[in-house]
Amino acid sequence: METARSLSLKSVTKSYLPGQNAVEAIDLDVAPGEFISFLGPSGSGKTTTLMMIAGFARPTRGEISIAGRQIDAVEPYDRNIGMVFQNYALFPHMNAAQNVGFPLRMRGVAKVPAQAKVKAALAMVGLAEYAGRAPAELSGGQQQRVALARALVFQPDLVLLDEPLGALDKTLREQMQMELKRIHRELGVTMVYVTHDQTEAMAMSDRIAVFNRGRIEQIGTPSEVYFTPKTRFVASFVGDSNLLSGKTREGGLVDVAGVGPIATSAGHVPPGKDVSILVRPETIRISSERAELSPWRNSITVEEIVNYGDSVLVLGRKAGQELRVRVPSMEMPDLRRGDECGIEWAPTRIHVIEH
Amino acid sequence: MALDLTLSRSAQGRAWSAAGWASALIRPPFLLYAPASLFLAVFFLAPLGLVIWMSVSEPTVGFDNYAEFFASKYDLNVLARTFQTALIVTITSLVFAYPVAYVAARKGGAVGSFLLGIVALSFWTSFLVRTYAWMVILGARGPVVGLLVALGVNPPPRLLFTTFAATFAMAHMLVPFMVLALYAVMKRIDEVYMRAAASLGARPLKAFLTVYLPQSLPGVLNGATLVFITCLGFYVTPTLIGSPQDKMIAGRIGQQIEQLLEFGAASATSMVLLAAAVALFVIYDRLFGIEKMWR
Ligand SMILES: Nc1ncnc2c1ncn2[C@@H]1O[C@H](COP(=O)(O)OP(=O)(O)OP(=O)(O)O)[C@@H](O)[C@H]1O
Ligand SMILES: [Mg+2]
Repeated sequence: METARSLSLKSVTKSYLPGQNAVEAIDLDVAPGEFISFLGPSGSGKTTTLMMIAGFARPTRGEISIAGRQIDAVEPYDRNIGMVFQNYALFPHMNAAQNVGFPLRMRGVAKVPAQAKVKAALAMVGLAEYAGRAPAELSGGQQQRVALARALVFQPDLVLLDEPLGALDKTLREQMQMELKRIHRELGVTMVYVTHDQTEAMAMSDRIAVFNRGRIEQIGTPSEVYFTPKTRFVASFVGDSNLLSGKTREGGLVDVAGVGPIATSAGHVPPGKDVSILVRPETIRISSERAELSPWRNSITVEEIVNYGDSVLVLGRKAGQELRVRVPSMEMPDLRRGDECGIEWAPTRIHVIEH
Repeated sequence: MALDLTLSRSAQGRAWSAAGWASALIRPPFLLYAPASLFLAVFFLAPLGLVIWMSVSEPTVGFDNYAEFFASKYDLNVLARTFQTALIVTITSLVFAYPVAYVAARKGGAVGSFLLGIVALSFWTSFLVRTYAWMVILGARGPVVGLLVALGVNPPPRLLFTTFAATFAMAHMLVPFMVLALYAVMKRIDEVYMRAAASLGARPLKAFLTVYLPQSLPGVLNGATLVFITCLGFYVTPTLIGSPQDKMIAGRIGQQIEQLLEFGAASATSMVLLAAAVALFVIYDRLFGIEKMWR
């Protein structure tokens, strides 16, 4: 039996202007109950893809189905998709309860059961006491909760969220992230979440689809995307990184100009190929003594030390190659700018990206 | 406490020295609005004062003119008809203007500019010119009558010099005001609300009725107030193409001055018209706040 799919996109392409594809050949399958994020820089096609799923934009080519149903000919109001917009889009002339009750009203739900559902939905987002408030009388975070309750109250097949937390400050955003995760867990509804904040995507998602220039560069779990990116773009967009260019040798060694051979996890790559290697800054260990040169040890000159409180970022240089090392504050050796120090890495932690 | 505050503030105000006043008078803000104030004082407040004075002094001192107005069945009828006509004109122009403003605001681009261009064009054409245009169109040898005859309506009905002609023409004159008042509000209704409504299951008509229309109501109110009050004082159009039997109040004032030479009565009638307009304005302000009108 084929596994059930909540959402499926097959080579979906959208071009607003002839010859320019805003979104190009997107393939995506989302399992029921999954929380998937669209992550990517501005203009990479996240919103366009979301709008096609919601039915507000028509794909130039390709097919979209929801819950096994091909929906290209289905109008937005018949798609049964809950949507949360970046600026909430709460109806200003209705109070919180009327906003949440709107989709039920449109579906002809009788008054009494509708009221009960509205009450439950507002309680779920912690706003039971705010039912009578107009949107203008609610804070940004509260408005976002109402918008969420409104998108969930009619038990949609799918919930789309376009940068829903973008307008909130950092503390509130983190609080809402946790809340959203809790609601997702409780309801088990499929969610597609657009963001350009990679920590947000990492923290919340079952899987992340990384968008770049209208294409999905990689789809995977947060740790796949983080530790084994498929492209240089994904490696540099998700998390802090050292990306070094080199050439493969026998036995997983990669020659990096000026640094020397580096031992990596890429034994399977044939020798003589141009590759990039990704070394996450926090996987490098640092010590104040200079290390003897080996494929997993090296020395750098400290150029800058940035203290973040919980961790310290050391910017070092080795023969024209800049290297970033992130060390937990507790483990930071006594170093100063201009010092020469030793670094060490685990070859299994070094990921090779073939070009 | 609050009272204390205001009292002490006004006490402070009174304590201002003459020099303080003088400096306040020549400070830039005053200089900026001085020309307008002066103009209004000379060309609006002074004539208005004169009219008020005439209404209670001509031909004899006292409130006879007002007593006569409110005792005259004819004048009260004119007043009532003026209000009724203004209401019909307001509703008619709303019916014509709403779709135009809606399409212009939501479609934007070439279609929107085209519609607004037409509206602006008729906005800039004088009332008098448009009234004469209607005289030609509705006249006994005009295209409308011609068309009716061609369709077999014989004898054709008289169109010119009827209440219908005046009402229709006034609605046409005021549609641009209504369109602009509506457009100003509609332009600020974000497209995202209609999308949100659709995503929540609202079909287009339902979405319009439940989401768009309520948000456009401030524009409807602004436009209706503007059109209604303007219409109360309409003179040229009803006089030139309306029925002589169905006078509106401005026409009645003209008659009192030009034909009957009753300056006092004309002044009193003018004051009644002004009072009616001001009363409407106050009601509007109480309900919706006057500053919203230009926001
Ligand atoms: N209505 C439109 N007409 C023409 N081009 C458009 C339209 N909407 C989007 N585009 C183009 O499509 C591309 C993708 O835009 P999209 O809004 O999907 O990006 P995004 O990933 O959501 O970016 P952001 O993070 O800034 O919201 C951009 O190059 C954009 O200029
Ligand atoms: Mg976007």
